[in-house]
Amino acid sequence: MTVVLGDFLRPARAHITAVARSGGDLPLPARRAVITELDRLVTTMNRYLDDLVLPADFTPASTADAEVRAALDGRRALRRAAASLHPAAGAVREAAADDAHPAVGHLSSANSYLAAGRDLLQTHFITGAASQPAGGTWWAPVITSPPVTAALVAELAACSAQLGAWTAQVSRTGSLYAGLPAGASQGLRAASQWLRAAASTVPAAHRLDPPAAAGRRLLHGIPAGFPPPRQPPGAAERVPQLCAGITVTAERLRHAVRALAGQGGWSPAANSTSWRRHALASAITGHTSELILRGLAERARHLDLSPAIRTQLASAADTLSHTWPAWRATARHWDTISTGAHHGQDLSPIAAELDDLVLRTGRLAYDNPRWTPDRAEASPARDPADLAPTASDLRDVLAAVHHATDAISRIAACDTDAVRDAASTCRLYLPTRLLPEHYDIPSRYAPAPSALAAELTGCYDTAATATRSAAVALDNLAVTTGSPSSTLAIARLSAGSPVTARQRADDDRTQTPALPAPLPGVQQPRAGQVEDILRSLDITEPGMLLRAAAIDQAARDVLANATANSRNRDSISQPPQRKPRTPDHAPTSAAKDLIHGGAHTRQHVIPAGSVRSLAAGHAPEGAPRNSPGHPPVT
Amino acid sequence: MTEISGITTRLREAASLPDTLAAGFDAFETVRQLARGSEDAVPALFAAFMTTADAAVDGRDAITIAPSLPPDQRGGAGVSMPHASVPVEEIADALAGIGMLLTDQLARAAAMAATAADRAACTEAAQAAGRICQMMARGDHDRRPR
Repeated sequence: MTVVLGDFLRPARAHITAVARSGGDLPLPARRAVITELDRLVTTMNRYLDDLVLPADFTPASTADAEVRAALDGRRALRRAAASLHPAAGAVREAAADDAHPAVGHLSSANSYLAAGRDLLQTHFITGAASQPAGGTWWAPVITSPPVTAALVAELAACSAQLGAWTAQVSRTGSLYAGLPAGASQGLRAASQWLRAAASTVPAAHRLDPPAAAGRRLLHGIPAGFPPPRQPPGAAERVPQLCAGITVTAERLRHAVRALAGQGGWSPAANSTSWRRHALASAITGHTSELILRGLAERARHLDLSPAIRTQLASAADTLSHTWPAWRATARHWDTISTGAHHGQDLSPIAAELDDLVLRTGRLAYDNPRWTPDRAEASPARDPADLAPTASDLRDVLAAVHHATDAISRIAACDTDAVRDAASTCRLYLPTRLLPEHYDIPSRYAPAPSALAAELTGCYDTAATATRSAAVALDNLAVTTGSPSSTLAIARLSAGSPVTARQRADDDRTQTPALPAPLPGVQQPRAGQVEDILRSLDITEPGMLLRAAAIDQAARDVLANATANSRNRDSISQPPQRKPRTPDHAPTSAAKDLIHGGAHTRQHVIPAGSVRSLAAGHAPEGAPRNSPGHPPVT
Repeated sequence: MTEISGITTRLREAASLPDTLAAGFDAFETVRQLARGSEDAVPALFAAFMTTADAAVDGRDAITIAPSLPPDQRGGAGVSMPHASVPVEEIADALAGIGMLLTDQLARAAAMAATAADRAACTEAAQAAGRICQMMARGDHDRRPR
């Protein structure tokens, strides 16, 4: 059975729900342990959002898109919650804690499940060019797609809501500090507030753009980014086992296709023997899949399923009927064309997997549990009533055909590119013995005429188009029937427009830190000045506080960049004897200047007409000394 | 089925390695073309004929690179398809028979080959012929509709 993200998210949520229902009246040792576990849990939740590469705040991309806005706000709030909990956990670290309390156990389990889920997501990403994360599997663009990102943000917001409400109870119960050190108690209260702020971001966004349930289903259906173990066809598998086996093989094929495509023409498996075997298996699988769909269409009539489903089944079968002749034509072209002499060991991993797919779809289609392509095992088609006794069985069989067709459509796309590449680099040949007598070629193989190569690539285009059409027809059918494979349909639609990328899990150091790490038990994270002003006005509305925090963060970012630029400029233009600027002083004072609008800020304003002056290499009139173009002050 | 009988005779009468390889090449090409021509005859045998044609290509390609294959003979192309009245079962039986003969002859040729390359080519082609034979063999418990 394939492990999916939902296998981690669901229990994590169940543990958080359990702890939220446990009440906030905890003994002091348990309260200490809860703070420690909560710190870990919120840090893990925060990392999920830190993995997202989102547009910068206060840009058109971040203000116009409600989902992006929700992700940004949620991330900021969770960062603040985590930053509030770090010192709180530090403050109770040395004191006796009751790790055996059920609430602590629930928090610990939730953290473990969420951490494992995040690890699962990270298996879909590799380090690409310039050390940037890149998608390593066909799921990667789905994971970074808007619906899945929205679903993830919503999932974390729901967790935050429960934790925020519960931590509010925990921090309210008992005496002023509930027996905790002041720093721990204050940190817990602040974290509670930020968790509720994180929870509030999503409903606000969803009022504008309600999230699709499909996104959540897709999120929960994300498998690990490595192929499931091969399940060799058994001697007498029944229909449910055959369907499960086809699903596993299809997933393995998707991984194999991705791997082979990544190797390009350099792979020893990129040869005509492999491509011919792919075309053969695709033709047979298409042929048997059509037979299965015809059986399902007949069964749907007997089961009195809706006319829409019956029509779509017949239509999908018709669409599939165009795939296998196209693949057969492709295979026939490989009868004479080749990339040279190859041996069995050069076969692609796809070819081996396809053998399993051929066997299982054949055994599903025909009334013979030991079916093989051999003449001796040829059988009549399976009775539709045996194929799908109930409507639920029909959906499962449909899902198997859907998975098989989807996998073949990916092989088609991969092979089309590879064969086109082979044709363009003149790697296609014909055995000279098959040429007419008047060709006087002394070698065993002759280059394939360009017209023949063009015919071959044309065949691939036809096969790829037909198979993709069949996959799309099955997408629609899967959604209509609620088949388990409907995630394939949603994934195909979602993967088209990724807006985010993910950062590597093992590269946490490169992520934006929640806030500078405070000393244990000493202080709470310092709010920015805008946030301070709002708090001084007794503003507690989470959305406004978040916005204030965003403004403060943006101001810090801008000033840090400006300071870095200024420092670079100084290092180029200043003579060595100039006293260096104190590193931490500049951004702090600059922030103060900006927020209070002091006179010093005007020093950095470049007068009108300055651009032309700067371009000419001298300082604009009225520009302050030490501005671009001026000689440095010594 | 004159093609089958003609190529069968050539295979049986091939005395030397080059003759066996040349006859084998043409035999595989005959199998390929006959199998291709029969794919649509019975839907239940679609996979069997498709796979048989594929095995024939494997066998023919293996022989193509055998050093002892005479370079100056052109053949294979132009196998005329049997008349439509010939039952597909008869064609399948004939292909199974030629597959078996190819297996034997090529295994014998592998044994007499002097070079490793010839031996490897004959062995690989014999394996492909074995697959043809297995693919086209009539089953003891044939369950297909007659």
